[in-house]
Amino acid sequence: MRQETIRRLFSLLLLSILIVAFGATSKLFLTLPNIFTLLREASVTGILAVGVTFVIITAGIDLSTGAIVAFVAMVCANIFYYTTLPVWVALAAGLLIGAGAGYLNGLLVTRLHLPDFIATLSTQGIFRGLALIIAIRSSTGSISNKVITNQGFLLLGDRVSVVYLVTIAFFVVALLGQGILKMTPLGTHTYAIGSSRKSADLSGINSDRVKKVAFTISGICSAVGALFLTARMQTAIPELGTGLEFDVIAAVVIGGCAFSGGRGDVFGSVVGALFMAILTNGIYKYNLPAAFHIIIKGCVIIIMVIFDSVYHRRMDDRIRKAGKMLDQAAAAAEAAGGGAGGIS
Amino acid sequence: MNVDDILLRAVDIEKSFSGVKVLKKVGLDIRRGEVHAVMGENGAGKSTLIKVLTGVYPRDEGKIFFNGASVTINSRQDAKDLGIAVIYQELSLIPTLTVAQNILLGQEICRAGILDNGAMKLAIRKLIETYGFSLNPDAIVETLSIAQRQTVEILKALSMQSSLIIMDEPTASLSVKESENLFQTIGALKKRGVSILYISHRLEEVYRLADRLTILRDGERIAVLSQGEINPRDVIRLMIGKELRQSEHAGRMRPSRPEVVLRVRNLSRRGVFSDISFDLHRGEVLGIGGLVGSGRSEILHCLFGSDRPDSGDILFEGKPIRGTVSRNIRSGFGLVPEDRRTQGFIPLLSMKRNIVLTNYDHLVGRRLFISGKSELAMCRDAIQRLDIRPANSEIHAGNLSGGNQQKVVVGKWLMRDLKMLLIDEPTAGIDVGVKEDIYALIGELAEKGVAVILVSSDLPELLRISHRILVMRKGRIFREFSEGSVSQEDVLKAASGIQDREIESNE
Amino acid sequence: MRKSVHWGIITVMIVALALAAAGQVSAQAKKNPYKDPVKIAYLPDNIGDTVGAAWGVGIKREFAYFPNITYQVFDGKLSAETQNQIMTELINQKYDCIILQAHDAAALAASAREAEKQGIPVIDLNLDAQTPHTCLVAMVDYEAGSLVAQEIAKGVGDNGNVVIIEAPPGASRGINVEAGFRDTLKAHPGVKILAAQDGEWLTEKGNTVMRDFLTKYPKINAVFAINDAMAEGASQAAAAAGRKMIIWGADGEKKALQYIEQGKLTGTIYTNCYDEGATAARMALYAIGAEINGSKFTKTPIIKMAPIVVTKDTVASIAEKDRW
Repeated sequence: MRQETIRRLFSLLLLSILIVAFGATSKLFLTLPNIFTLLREASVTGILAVGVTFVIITAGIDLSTGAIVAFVAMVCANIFYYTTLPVWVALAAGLLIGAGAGYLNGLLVTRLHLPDFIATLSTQGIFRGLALIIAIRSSTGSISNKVITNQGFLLLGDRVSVVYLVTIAFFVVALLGQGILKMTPLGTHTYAIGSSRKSADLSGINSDRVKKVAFTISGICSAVGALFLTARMQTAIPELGTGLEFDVIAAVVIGGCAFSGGRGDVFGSVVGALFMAILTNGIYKYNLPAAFHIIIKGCVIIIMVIFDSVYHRRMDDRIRKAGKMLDQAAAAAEAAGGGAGGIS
Repeated sequence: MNVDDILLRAVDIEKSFSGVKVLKKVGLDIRRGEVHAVMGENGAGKSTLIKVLTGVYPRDEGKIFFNGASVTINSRQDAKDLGIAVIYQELSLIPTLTVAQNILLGQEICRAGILDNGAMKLAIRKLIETYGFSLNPDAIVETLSIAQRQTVEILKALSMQSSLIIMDEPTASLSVKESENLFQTIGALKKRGVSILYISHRLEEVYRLADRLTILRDGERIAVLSQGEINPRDVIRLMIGKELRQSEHAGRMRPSRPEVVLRVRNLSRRGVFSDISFDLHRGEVLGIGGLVGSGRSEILHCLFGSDRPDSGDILFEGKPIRGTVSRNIRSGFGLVPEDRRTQGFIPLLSMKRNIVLTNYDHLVGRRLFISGKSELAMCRDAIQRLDIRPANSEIHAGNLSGGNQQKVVVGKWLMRDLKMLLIDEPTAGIDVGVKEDIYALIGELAEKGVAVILVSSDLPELLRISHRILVMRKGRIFREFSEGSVSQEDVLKAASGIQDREIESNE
Repeated sequence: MRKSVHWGIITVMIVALALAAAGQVSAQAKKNPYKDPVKIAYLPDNIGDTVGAAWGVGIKREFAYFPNITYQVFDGKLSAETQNQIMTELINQKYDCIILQAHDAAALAASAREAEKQGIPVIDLNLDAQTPHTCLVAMVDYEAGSLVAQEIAKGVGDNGNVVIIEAPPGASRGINVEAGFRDTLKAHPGVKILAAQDGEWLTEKGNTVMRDFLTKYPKINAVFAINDAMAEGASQAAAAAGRKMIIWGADGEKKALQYIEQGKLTGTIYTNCYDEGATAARMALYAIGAEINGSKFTKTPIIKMAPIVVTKDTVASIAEKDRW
């Protein structure tokens, strides 16, 4: 079986264990409202994770997603507070800014050759700072976040019967992401540059372009997440999404993307996001100390990474052994033929 | 010969690197549908020639004609556009993608922006069937053997309508069986009119495959042989050059039989080497020759403890060693690895730190902290003994010249109580003056009783400093030269798998 | 294909969960908070904070008398998103009352409104949610800032330079305390505010900001740190630089009172946080039992905790059991 398949089954197994464990011990867990609540909690992380999946598959990392969320949210809040523009303007502005922010990350990485980590760490600060600068302030200059009252916009935080809109958006974004990854040349190229950049270049792929697109997708996903988060909170605060990037990266890694690039897909990240949401939700049920949450999360990530390295070692071994078997046969033949394997 | 038959003709190609002429008016003709081999000793200019043909290096002089027209090849893309493909030694495939995805990477078939998987699979199937390979287009490349990956690489070249495929040591990492499959593939390509430029050290392969053979020596084309003219004796003579057969260039083996320091028995590592047994004596320099990829360096790493053997025993001074690197270093082992820059030293640390790095146990003693003075003293000592230039202990090791870098690598072992030195291609890429210094040093160490194992592809070097020579072939010890006079030809023949009696019978 | 199988598994899983669950929403009958089993949650902004912890102790002491009460503490981890998540969770779990210290007034408004709509009273502590709800129990903030301003003006004789170590941007308590301070100082034109910088509520950060001020300004007569933790940091920085000045904090935590006794701090505005927590607890019980509906309020009723100005002369009047 392929590594991806095993990883997939493994993360689904973990997910099922969590569900069964919480379901069996808490009668609050498997209730309709709770299920849709936890799907809702998984959604924002999940939407961001779809974008970050692209970046991580290119062997990159995006630390700026949480800050992009804050910046986009703040822009929307400004539009609603200072203007009476229609909702679609705010949505379009948000998405454009997200895309632009992601593209900027891509530019820094490809044009200035900054390492992804450094580039997005810097832009994280920049976007967060911009969010602070444009935050709505009172006359004395102190920040005073305003409740958004635009009913059209607030619909985004609402639900259709029991399903929250954000959950629907999550699944749509995930399907789109998976489609791009698996069904377009761009997707194949994303895997290619992540797995072996040099080989991809030799095949005539424009690695820089692919990298920029991956960051842009990540930026757009962050913006989508920001819109729903803002609608749910009915306000934007400059510290929105602080630390969210790490939850997102954790979801992506739990879902099977390797940091070394070239592996994983959106489906895995969906599972990862669900896993994290269920973990949080279940822990609230028992009201265990917050520390448990992070410890379990950390352990799961370690297990996943160990899994990868063990798998690789076994794979190498197998290929080596296969070579040896052939050689043994050859050596036997050579011995029998008295060294006739060579000339004449 | 009809001019139309020539696919690629290179005339008077010249290339120098910093004033040193690497290619001197080299010519090359490749006919349509022929397997054209190129042979030559290390440094004869084979890889430079390929790089000129594929646009990696620009040529200084000369002309290249492709399909009869004069062409300029300034980049890989130019070569690709002409239909020249290279199967690289380190394969250039994407391990996590499927065979089909790899073959069509960058030239995917789409319908309305969506990949047309059906059409792509069909195209690949057709391609695979045309050449009669057995390969599943949906297999993930990383699950394939090296040989299968090579086939994918070849298919990729074919899918780009390449008419010339350059193969650089394609069998270096293949098993015998896998090589056999490759030869069949080459046969199939030939039948379809694809030309192949085949670079190899392995005489028997060339003998078997090549329609014609160009021999290079010291950057010059020495001979072009056609199939009937290729025989091992002549080829080796042409590669080495006649004058080198004289006995002054041969090495005299000096068997010494004092106490045994290292006893190796039936050492094996799957798929790399097997059944290696030898004794190493105090004060002896044991040379290991053979082709690149025959398992020489890997043996050194197993002895040093940085790799683990699958079976076999290593006895050092009568006691079995359970190999961890640090324990072996403590008992007196030193390794000068082949890949200096990544394994031998740490480029961003100063020369002083590099020398001190393996010797903190000597410096620390019982104290917790190390005095900067003793570090400096050790470094000064090394600089003096090895004549490292510049004699500046604070300079970053990465900024030294290749030769002086090597001295630093050797130097760190000299500073301790060394009993056994494992040294791999000690003079690759090092200028002549420093070479002599290093030879002198190895001799000096041996005289003091250090046992040395030397791996080298440089035949004169191997012959000159070894007391005894083992020649490896395909992971096994093929021959041992322990007494009398040994010539380069002898070693080369052994490395190519030719027994003495066959040579005699040929003569 | 394998991929579609995976998607299938997930879909089946969700549908199965949905089917397994039984929908249930029952009408909320008013409970007797002193007899019926009730669940009350306390959700501070950050469980590790001294003030938040002191409130928690106060609440717990109050509920300890009533065995029918289940009391749970949740950690907001200094994040509005986390608080919102937990609020949703508490509403789902049908808690009977939520005692909340909102991370941000606007950001918790939607959640508080939702809770009130579901008949769960929300009692806020200090940091209010920006929507009408059952009750707010608060230390005075604007007035506290105003009191400190008067004390400092008196201390420097209406003539001198002051620096402010601020609360993080967006923290409404910090904004209000600082506003009270600044507004009151306007009546004392001789007292000049040199600079103001964010000390993130933390001692270490307060120390860093103060050292920065000390190198920049040769003459500083007084410091106002918006909470005691930052004031302690400022005091350490001034002592290290060997400079003497008036230093005021606010809140009145145990350590600050010690500092005042030792002369390291000039004064603080003390609030009995145990008492404040207990007050919120009593309000919770009142709200559970009373025929009131916070979602119908047009304005949140406020209980203000009286401020006590503490200086070296008056610090002895704060009894050991009231120090938190």
